Amino acid sequence: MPLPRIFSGFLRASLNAFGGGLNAHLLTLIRREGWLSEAEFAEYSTFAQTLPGSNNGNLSALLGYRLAGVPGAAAALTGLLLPGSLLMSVVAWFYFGGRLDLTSRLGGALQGAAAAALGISAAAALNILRHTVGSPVPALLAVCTCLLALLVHEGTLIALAVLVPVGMLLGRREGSSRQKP
Amino acid sequence: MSGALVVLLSFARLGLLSFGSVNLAAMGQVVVEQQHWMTQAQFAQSYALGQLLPGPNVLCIILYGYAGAGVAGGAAAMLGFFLPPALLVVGGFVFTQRGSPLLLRLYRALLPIGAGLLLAGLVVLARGSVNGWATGAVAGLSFVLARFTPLPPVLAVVLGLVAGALLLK
Repeated sequence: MPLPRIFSGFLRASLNAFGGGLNAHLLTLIRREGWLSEAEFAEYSTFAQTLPGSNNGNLSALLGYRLAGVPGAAAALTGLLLPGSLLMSVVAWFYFGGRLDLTSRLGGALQGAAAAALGISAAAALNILRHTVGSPVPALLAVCTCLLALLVHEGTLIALAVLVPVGMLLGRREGSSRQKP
Repeated sequence: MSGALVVLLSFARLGLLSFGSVNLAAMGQVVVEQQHWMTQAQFAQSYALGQLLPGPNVLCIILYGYAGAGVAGGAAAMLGFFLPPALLVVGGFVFTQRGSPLLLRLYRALLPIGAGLLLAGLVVLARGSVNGWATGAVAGLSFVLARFTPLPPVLAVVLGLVAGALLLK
């Protein structure tokens, strides 16, 4: 698989995902190019989410690796991140370089955008939460994690160290009880 | 230690602490509370700018890194956040048996953890973005637009920009 083709494929997916929906655009990419089956894509998505980091970043690295080894992974990640990174660096130069008058209407505009971003993120989160914490025990684990992350120094690490093993043990019991009719 | 190196190491750690979605709560602890690179409001505004640009939403980390150490800081944040997990995922792909029951159980155990981190991230965003009735209304209406209409969510952010310019300051 030629690297420029991988690079340009992920570049296009990234540009199409203006304002979200990147995962769907990655699926469209592998479908259109006929690179992998949808079942394989789903399997890789799950694997990418099992490990830490950006889900779509991990998934892109994995897809690139599957297509052309380590250089393929590098080409996929570069294509995915390059356009947004360059644009964002320009934004950073303006925003934190003291080149904007944030006491003007612009400051208000950005505060409005921040509030809107909260609203749309809450809506997206609701979709995810419905699928992941539908029953009491996962909901309790999620609330504990949330409180740890907000209130305790290194709370995320504590949640991972304590609650993941708990979840895995509960998962095993669930699995074995399901096997017995 | 040079500023960019601090950013690199901080974001390497934050990448490895991100499950389910970007760990905004841990990111806020580092960027706002520990390093004082920016205010809580700037943290939320940077996140919003990330929603407006193409690519993964997590590109706001360039702003966080830039606030810490300039252009080099922005690049360091990207490298630190994306590279270690990418190496892990490719290494894991080569050396573990995908679809094994143990891995699947780990995946399931991580779902509520990711959900909790997601909730905590929303709280951090709310602290930085909602400071009165106007911002509260923008957040509520954006939620409704994203949840109940087929319009693209990024439109809500654009409307938020306009509403903010008219109502605030």
